Amino acid sequence: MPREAEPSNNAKAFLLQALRENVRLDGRAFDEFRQIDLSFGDEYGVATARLGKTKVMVRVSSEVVKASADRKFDGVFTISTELSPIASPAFEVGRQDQAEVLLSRILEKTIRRSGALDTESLCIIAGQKCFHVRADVHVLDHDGSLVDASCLALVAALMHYRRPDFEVRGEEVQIFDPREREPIKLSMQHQPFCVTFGYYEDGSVMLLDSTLLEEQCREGEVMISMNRFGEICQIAKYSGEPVDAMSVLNCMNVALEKVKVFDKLVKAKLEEDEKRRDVGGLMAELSAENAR
Amino acid sequence: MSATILLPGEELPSDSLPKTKKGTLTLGPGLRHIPPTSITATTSGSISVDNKKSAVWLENTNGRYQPSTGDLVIAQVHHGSTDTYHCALTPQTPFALLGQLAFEGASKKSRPHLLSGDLVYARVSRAVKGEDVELEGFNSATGKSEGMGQLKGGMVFEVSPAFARRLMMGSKGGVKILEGVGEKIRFEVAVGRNGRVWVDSGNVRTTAAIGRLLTSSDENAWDVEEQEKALKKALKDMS
Amino acid sequence: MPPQITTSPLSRPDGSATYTDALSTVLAAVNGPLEVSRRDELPSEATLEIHVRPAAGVGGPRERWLEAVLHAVLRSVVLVHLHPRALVQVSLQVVREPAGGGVGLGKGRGEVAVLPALVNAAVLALVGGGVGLEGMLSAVLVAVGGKGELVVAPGVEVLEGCESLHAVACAAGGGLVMDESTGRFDLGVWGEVVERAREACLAAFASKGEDEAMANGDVEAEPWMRQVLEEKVRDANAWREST
Repeated sequence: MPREAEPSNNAKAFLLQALRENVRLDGRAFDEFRQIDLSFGDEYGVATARLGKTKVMVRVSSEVVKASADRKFDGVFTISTELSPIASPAFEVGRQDQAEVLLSRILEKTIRRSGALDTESLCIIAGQKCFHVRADVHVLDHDGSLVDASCLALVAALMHYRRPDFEVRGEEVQIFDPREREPIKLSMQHQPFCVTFGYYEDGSVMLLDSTLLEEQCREGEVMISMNRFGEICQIAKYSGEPVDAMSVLNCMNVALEKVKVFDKLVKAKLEEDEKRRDVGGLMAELSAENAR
Repeated sequence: MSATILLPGEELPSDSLPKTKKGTLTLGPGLRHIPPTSITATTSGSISVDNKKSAVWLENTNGRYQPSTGDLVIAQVHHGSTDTYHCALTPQTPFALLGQLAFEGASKKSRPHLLSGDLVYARVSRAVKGEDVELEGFNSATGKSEGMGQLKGGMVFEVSPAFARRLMMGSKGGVKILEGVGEKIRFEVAVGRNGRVWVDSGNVRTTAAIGRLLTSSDENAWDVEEQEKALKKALKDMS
Repeated sequence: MPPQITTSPLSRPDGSATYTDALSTVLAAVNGPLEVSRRDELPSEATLEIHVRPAAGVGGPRERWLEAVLHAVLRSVVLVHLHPRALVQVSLQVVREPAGGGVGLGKGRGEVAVLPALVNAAVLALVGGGVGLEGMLSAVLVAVGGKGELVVAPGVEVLEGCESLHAVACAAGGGLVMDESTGRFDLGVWGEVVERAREACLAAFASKGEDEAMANGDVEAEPWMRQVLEEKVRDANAWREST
């Protein structure tokens, strides 16, 4: 069974000694993220986020399905996370790694259960037809902070995606091809992001955006998800040493700052992308018509 | 003048064979002999010839480290059994074997006791296809350690195998970082062909800075000028 | 237009490549030789493991079929006997494919259409990962249009109206190592398709002035695969030139 190679004793001891002396191996400050990069694909709903070497691609797609009987007015939204050997040879196909369970749990809680996507807007005919929006999270390169990077890419992809337009005539539903009618943005209620804190030295050192080596050496982690208004979606601390409640409160303030940065970044990149697509000024033409 | 580049499956032109009459021809990595007379490439690379040693090989940066006899490597002990240590050279590959007595002056009564996760600077003493790789922590011909043995303290950095090879070539490898830092600061270094560099300067900040210089030089393929620029800046920060 | 290639886009795998053509984008990662599990161990050769992951959704029978085809193709060029009792792992992530998984293409077409991209990406990643290969290999998609005309490396428009689709891969000697076809066609057409495909495949890694296709001044016949691989070797040896 393949496994992620354990760091050597020298590396562990060195990393901890460095943290005691206020030094991170890559020279960052404790609360500093690596270079964040966000890009969109040619198709709607494809977003790639990079945190240093970590790289996650999310693809959002949709199809029309039969509505579930117990939730008549809701569409379906699923997030699928499957780690493959592309990210690291330690991940095996068909075997759920602990990292995978953790990633899917946190994304589920942060985005799906917090109601980031308005599932009611996905309903076409109550009780009969609705959209099934699915987000596939593909981790391409693993160097720590998978959850933070995946969450960023997922939110960006959801905001970037356009679902096909439809028209209801009595019982008949016509779904329009994107070439016939301009597809429509998903309706998002808020944009939550996740920030992971790794702690060391009995919680006296808190690190943001840990690399894989830092993750392997830490005593535990606290994962906080919130939106830019500071509304907390979830706090998770699954394992590791106990941590002081006061320091968790402190983490929240730090997380809010970072979430605001993420939020701005996603919006700026989306705007950039829209400008890139809008070469012929078609969007401007359409919106001008609407204004009349 | 750039050397001829071969792609997998292409035959080595006979005029690029080493020009020596005596001795047997040695085929290095990336080439294979198909009897009776053809030599073909197994991967992409440029043809390199050493006339003195009557050797020819393909120069490339492709792929994972493949152990070969005589290589100096940094091995990480995974676990020990009655008379050997099982060591990892690269992740997810079968363990290499290191005899517990294969150290300088080691005897049944006095020998280094290594724990899981400890690092050893060792030489590959045997690497045969289909068999376990064997290591030794001293030169078995002379009985001297020659710098090999357990690496205590310090930090180990991961670089590409090709970069590690350049570091070992010294001034010919086109990497000035170790020399440059060495002019100002005392530190110990051990380079393993398996893409690991161990550095210890006694000071956490300095060691980390040296590691950063090495890894970013490798990742960004810095040329000598860029290296010197980064080196100057780093030395300034250190003092 | 020749396909767009990025060599070594990823940091973790031993070899990686992205391949983009008019229809598809595929990301390939190669790891190996690795330790193999007891169950998959072969005493005299390396085990070749292929994973294909779709852009959307989880893998199903379609991906298993693609894996089976790719396994046979790659097994014919990888020098598996060089690494007995080891594992060579090839992971392929489909990033973009025509019409989101063959929805508008009719049954079976989407699978065939994405095959050449998978093969080409895998070969480039294998070379980048230093895995020993017997020789080069490349693949191409050929569409037969409504009037019986052959289109090599077609775009989406051609794909929608075509009579049949053929994914063909050729090894360096000209040997056919993959031929997956779908649609209606007869033996005569198929023979023509294979000839055209063979030309296109060999041209991808032909050396300058060697192949006849080059002499014809055909723009499509640019040896893109050779250019990409040679470029990489030159980059890797750049430090030598400067010292």
